Amino acid sequence: MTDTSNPSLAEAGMPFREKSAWVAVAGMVVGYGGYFAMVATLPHQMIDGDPPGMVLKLFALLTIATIVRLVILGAGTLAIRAASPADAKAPADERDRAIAGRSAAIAYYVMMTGMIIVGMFMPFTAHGWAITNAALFAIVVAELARYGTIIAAYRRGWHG
Amino acid sequence: MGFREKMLWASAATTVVIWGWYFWGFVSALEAPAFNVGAELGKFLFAVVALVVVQVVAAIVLALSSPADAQAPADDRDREFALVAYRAAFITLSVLIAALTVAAPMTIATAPAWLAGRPPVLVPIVISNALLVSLVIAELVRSATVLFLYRKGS
Repeated sequence: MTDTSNPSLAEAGMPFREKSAWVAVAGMVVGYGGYFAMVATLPHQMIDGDPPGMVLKLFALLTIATIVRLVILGAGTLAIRAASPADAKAPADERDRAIAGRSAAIAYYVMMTGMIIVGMFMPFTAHGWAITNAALFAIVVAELARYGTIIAAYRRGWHG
Repeated sequence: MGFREKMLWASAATTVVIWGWYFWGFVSALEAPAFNVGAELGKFLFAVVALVVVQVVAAIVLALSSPADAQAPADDRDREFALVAYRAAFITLSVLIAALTVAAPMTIATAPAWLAGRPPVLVPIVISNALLVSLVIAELVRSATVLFLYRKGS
């Protein structure tokens, strides 16, 4: 009988799509978490009014954050593919498709809500770069909601 | 044609007409020598109210014309089509917003050149309208995907 109480054995049985979602979460948290942490530490007077030099610096920082995310995503995906090649090649079944659809629906509403807040209210209270950052933050939150739903679905045995 | 499909057609048509009218006017206002923020805000609010009113009226008319169909719960096929459409819409919205996070800094950086003496408040207004276009396109992709699947499946 398999001992599923052993965490390492339980982890060995983790579906490939759940592992992919964990890798994506790691990429988002490290890449954009780092970016937002750095932006949050900047004094307001440095970014208020969108001085051209600061806009370019923030853009460079955002590019670095995106590269970090993609490197983590690429390396992580290669690693989990190498660890379970058969699982990686298996086509998505009905449950996988249902989970993917349900998680995208949740993420879509999260992003819509974020965009409505950013697009309808922020123009009257914030400057240009703050709006860009808020839009990016909405993407990150929506993607985390999507991957979080995928992980929860596989962990809890939901059908999606 | 079922109630849900008719509703989607009505929703897509009103979205194209009302938001098309708003964005056409917004671009025209941007090209004009002076930009009236109050007038554009008024047009935006009118578009939102008109969209809600027209869609509510369309839903009532369609529900009265086929009451049994309107009250029927969504079946597995409806739910599956909806989930596929959400995925397409989410990918579309993500790509558009990601592109905007690249385009917006350039818009901000080049603002002094294209503002040409107009108020600086135009910069966030342009960015927020670009976000709004993204939402409208994503919603149209969602409607179009479901309509395509209904047509393909019927």
